[in-house]
Amino acid sequence: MVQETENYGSGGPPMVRIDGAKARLIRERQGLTQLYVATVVQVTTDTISRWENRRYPTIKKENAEKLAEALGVTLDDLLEEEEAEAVGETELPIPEKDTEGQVLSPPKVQVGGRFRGFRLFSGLVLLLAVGGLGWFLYQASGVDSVQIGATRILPDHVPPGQSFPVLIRINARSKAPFSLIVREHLPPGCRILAVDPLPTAAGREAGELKWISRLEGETRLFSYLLASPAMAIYGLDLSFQGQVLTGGRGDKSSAISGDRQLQIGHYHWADINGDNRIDDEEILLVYDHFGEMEGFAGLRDEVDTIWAAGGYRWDEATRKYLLEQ
Amino acid sequence: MRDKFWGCLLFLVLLPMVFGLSTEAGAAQNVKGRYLGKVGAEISIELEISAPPPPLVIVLQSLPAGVQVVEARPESKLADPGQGQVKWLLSGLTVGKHRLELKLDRPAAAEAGGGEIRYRNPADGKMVVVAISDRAQ
Repeated sequence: MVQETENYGSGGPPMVRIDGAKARLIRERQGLTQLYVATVVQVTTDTISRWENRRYPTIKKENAEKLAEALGVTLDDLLEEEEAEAVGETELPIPEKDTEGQVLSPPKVQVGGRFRGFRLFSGLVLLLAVGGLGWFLYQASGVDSVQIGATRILPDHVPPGQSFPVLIRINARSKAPFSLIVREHLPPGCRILAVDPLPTAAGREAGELKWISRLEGETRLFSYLLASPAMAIYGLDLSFQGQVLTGGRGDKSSAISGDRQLQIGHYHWADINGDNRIDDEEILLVYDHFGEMEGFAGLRDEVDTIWAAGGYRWDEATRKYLLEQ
Repeated sequence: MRDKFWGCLLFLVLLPMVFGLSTEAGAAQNVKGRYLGKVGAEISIELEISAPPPPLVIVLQSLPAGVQVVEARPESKLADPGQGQVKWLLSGLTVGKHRLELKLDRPAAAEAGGGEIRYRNPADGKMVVVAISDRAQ
């Protein structure tokens, strides 16, 4: 233990660092005066006082041994334990001496304390650097923090050859903007009337719509108007399915949930309960679901007119909605 | 120590009250309506829209039997004239106050019944029906 705390400051005598408070405590417990200890160690009472009042004074090893002897303990008992290693690595200044050639004061700089502060500061900086790097990498990865919910809203039914709206609502939670691909597979025989936003160039292939987009907010709408197959038989189910692809290589796929099927029937798509009229609740729902669609304006007049008329009938012969008079 | 205890207790008591008030505020009406006048052959209604505005608002006004609407402003879709009621279909309303006016074919405005406003609450999608108030608000 002693060897670890010994220090040869610039070729001077071996120095050790003692625990001043501990030295005072031991002396007081034994009822010894500073004068007695000073006499044994052969230094002044001021020197003893200085040693005791400093937290970790560095003194000559020879004096430290005398002090231990005066107090009736071993040198190890007086040494500062925590700083042992630091003292061993640090070059200390030569302490001042009094007229008796003894140590007057410990080094003016508490090298060990400063060193410990430096190490603490370095550790903190390192911790912040590692944390910052981790945060940066987490942000850079981006896609891993993306949470996507995609829902399709479809009417329940539509007569053959009639137009109807489809809305895909993407809700995302992401810390940064990200790219996504939306793929929508359409039922066979349906005709695309309008798409918003415009799909990618290759997206208008028969039976599929594809958008490549960048999501910067929380919600994004993709919508389109379709005409049901003109020759479809009543009762036929039209199936829709789609995926949203995210990730740097589009390798993370999630299916579009919500409505998947629409049936060929005798009622207007907005007449949800099939009672041959569009009532207040139905038209409010239509506007709520599809009012934000760019292409909805074309359908709105038809829906409003049927609502205002108070009733309609699907005419099989002319393939048109006839308003009630 | 005792002060801290009472402080915590007060906080715990007030918290649900504050939360309750905020919930109630969240459920506040997005659309209100009141009559500005029912005089002679004219009925005037003021709508007050607060954020977020619903995408569609339906305003219904009862009419005395046999009374016809000569003119309605705005001229948006109007349903059931001549069937004892008239309905406006109002889309794209902005936040603020809007005025609706009806001119009848005879001075029967005072005899007209009440009216109501229908819309879907943007917060939860539930249909809301609000009576048009007679009182100045």
